[in-house]
Amino acid sequence: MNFARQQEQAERTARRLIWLHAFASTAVVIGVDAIATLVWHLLFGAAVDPPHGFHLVNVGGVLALIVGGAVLETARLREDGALIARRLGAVPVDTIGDPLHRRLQNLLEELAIAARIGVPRAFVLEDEPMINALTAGMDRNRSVVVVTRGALVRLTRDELQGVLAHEVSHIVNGDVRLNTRLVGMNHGLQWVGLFGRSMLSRAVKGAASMRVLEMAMAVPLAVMGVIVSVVGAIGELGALAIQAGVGRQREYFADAQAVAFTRQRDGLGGALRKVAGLPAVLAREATAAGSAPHDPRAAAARRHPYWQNVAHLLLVGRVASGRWFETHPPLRDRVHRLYGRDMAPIEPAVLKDAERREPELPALSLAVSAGAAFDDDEAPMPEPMAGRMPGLASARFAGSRDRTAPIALARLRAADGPAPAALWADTMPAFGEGAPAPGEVVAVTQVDGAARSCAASESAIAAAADRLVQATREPAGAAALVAALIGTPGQPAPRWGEGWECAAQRHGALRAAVAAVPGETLRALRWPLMELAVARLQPMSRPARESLLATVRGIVDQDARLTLPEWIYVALLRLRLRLEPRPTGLRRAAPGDLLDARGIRVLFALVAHCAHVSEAKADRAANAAIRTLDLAPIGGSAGPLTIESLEQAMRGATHLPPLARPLLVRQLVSLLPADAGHEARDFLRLLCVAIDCPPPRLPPHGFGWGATGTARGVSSDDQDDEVLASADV
Amino acid sequence: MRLFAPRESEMSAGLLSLLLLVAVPLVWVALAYNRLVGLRNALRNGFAQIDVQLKRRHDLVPGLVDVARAYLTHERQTLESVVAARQGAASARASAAARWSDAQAIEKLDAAESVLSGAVGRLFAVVEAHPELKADATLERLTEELVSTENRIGFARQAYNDSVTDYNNGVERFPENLVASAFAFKPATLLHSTRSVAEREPVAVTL
Repeated sequence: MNFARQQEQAERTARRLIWLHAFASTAVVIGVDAIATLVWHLLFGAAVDPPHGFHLVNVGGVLALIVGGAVLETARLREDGALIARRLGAVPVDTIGDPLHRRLQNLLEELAIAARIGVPRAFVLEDEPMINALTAGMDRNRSVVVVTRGALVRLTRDELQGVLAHEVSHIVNGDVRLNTRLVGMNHGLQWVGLFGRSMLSRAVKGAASMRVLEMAMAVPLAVMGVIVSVVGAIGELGALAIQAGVGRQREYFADAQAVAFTRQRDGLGGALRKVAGLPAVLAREATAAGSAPHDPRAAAARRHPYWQNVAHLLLVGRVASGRWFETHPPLRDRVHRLYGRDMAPIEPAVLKDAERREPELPALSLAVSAGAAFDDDEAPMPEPMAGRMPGLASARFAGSRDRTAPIALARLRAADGPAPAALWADTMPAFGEGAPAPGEVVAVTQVDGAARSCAASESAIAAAADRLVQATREPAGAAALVAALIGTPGQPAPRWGEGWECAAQRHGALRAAVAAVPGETLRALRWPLMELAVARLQPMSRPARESLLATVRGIVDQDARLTLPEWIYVALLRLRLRLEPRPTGLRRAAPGDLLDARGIRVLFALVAHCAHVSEAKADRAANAAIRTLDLAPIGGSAGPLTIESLEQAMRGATHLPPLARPLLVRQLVSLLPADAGHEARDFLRLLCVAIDCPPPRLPPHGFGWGATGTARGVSSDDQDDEVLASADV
Repeated sequence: MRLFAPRESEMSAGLLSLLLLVAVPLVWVALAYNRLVGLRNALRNGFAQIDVQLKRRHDLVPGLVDVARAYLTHERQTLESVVAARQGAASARASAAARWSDAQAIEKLDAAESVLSGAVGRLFAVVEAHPELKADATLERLTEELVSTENRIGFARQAYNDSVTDYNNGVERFPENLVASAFAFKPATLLHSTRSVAEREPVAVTL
């Protein structure tokens, strides 16, 4: 391969591109001016000349927009190639937490060696189910590669290597520089249309404002807005056509070079065939999950308009929108050139690696062999069953990882029809001793069975908990887990917002895994799991975080009541996802926001209430705290505990001077008895997060994986989540 | 007398052409020399890159053996052969790193590395037979790193061979070879990664 010649050719294309752009820009400038003059003559008659400087303003304004937009964007891109990635909502790779990210990073490092360039920075579009990738950057040694989640989970290592080799060849050939410059220039042309639209919306607002001056301005503003946006739209189309013309030939070359780098064609070839086969698979998966089928066109329409600017950077272009605007040669042709003949698309399943971290259920099964009607693959366990039968739960969740419990359930041959659940649990342990004859149900003594099922359930709980922890490894799982932890078992599936399709698909299975963990254990795990999940969600784009919070709020609102744990976790989510400004303590607070004696009493009353401590004791502790913090001891009682008073008190606590915060927290902790429940603990932890104070050591809790905890948890599952507020919240 | 004395302009022209005759070849020699130095340094860099990746592989192998040892108590022999192969490869690497242009040292390194590849391949075959070991998260991570390292070594060799070809072209082409022989630029050897049978087989990692 002659890289130098290719780079030269890229430069030539770049020069042609600049001419084309100059042409398009001139056309837009002249177009705006011509139409404006035409409109002027239509309004005021052919004889009246436009005022002096009319043309100058038109031409100057539009030129300033085009050039200004292009220069500004190019300068920004030059400074930071990762800007494009971040604009699209991609997050930097996390090489420690997620093995798939690690693999991506490794692959890029390998290819950088092969191509003798600096390692590109890797980003992942976590909420994109399609298979795609793009690269950007002004400098060969500081480029950026963005890969979608779909590509990570559905392509094998070799295929992903092929895809990345294609991107790396773009970098080596100098296409990326060219394409990134094109992004900047197109941004300028786009600005004209955007400006026109903003003029229109201002005109509409002005007309609605009922103020004389603005209403008078509305008409010319609207006329100008229409002209500019129409011509701007034409300019945008021109930009798209240029974008398309530049890239198409280079794609074949990059494909060929990817093969030269990796010395195999099946990598990239397989990836392209999987891209072709993916829509059918996504549609099938969506039907199986009961959600609306994934429509690439609708998804493209909902995306950020910036996507349009980067279409030519992608591995596979936008869905066909007319030959003139296609940035990439058709997939079939590319596959044909790679293999020398037509190849059928491959339907990409999610990889085994990726699947292992899904909350999958063991391929057992009891259910199948017993003829019961639940479905094996996707398969949440039927909820009522999970609550009542820890033994059964273990059977379904003790997966292949579990080395201690002999799960030989697959060999169980029950008589026709579903056997009673109790019978299943009791017969289960017997299979450690020998295979039963087909059709036989082995009876064992009750005591032995119960003891064994307890042991089995313990490891099953551990396995289920492990699965929950695994889910926090990547954003979709983390989001689904958050929803599963906050929701209650019987609820209908929540409405997931924009960009959380993957999370929606995993939610059901994770909810089943949550249900498999008995109440007491779950209550102990909830806070750490939430923190793990939230840490994974923090780097997501702001709209994604907002839509997640909206989803969670929807879950909480479903039963029209707000329990204390729900409030605690939603508050944690709000704080950790950085969706509201955090008071820094340096800003002056409004006098009403400061923490007063009443706020202190509210906090103490709440802790006392959750920890089942007497009011008198809480009052004494509160008074001590008020004295320590040097507050004016006004008012008697805390009054009724409401969400408003609680939030007021929390807000007040954030304005405490930094050194007073640990004092308050220590006083609150001293109120906790040794057997305080998890609500009180979680509330204290939340308070520490909210006021930015290191959490204290909480008194140890008599909690273990033991059978007693299990039994207690099962019996009192969801009953002591006290209702804080009802429908009016 | 005056008749034979050269005129002013003639003398300066002669001097100029003489100067050019001397200077042009000198400049060319300097340029060619610099180009060769650049190529040779690219070559050394390429070799050091392979060395870095080999080191990476040698660092990974003990971790792999440790993880495997926890599960494979009765497969001592496989584990020991991996450890021995690793040691052999590490010492061959050390001696080759000192003499990068010595074809014999590189051959030796090649052979030692292929022994290591074979041993690791056998270890993975054993791993295949132990599902509980295959499911180990640490092993999974190590495997990914090892696969990646294998690729890196391959790509680094590829890049090294490319730079060897560039360098040899520079050294052996006609007018430059005069400069090369004058300044003792010797042709370098290409790496043949598929010379031994063991190396031609890919390391079987399908976890």
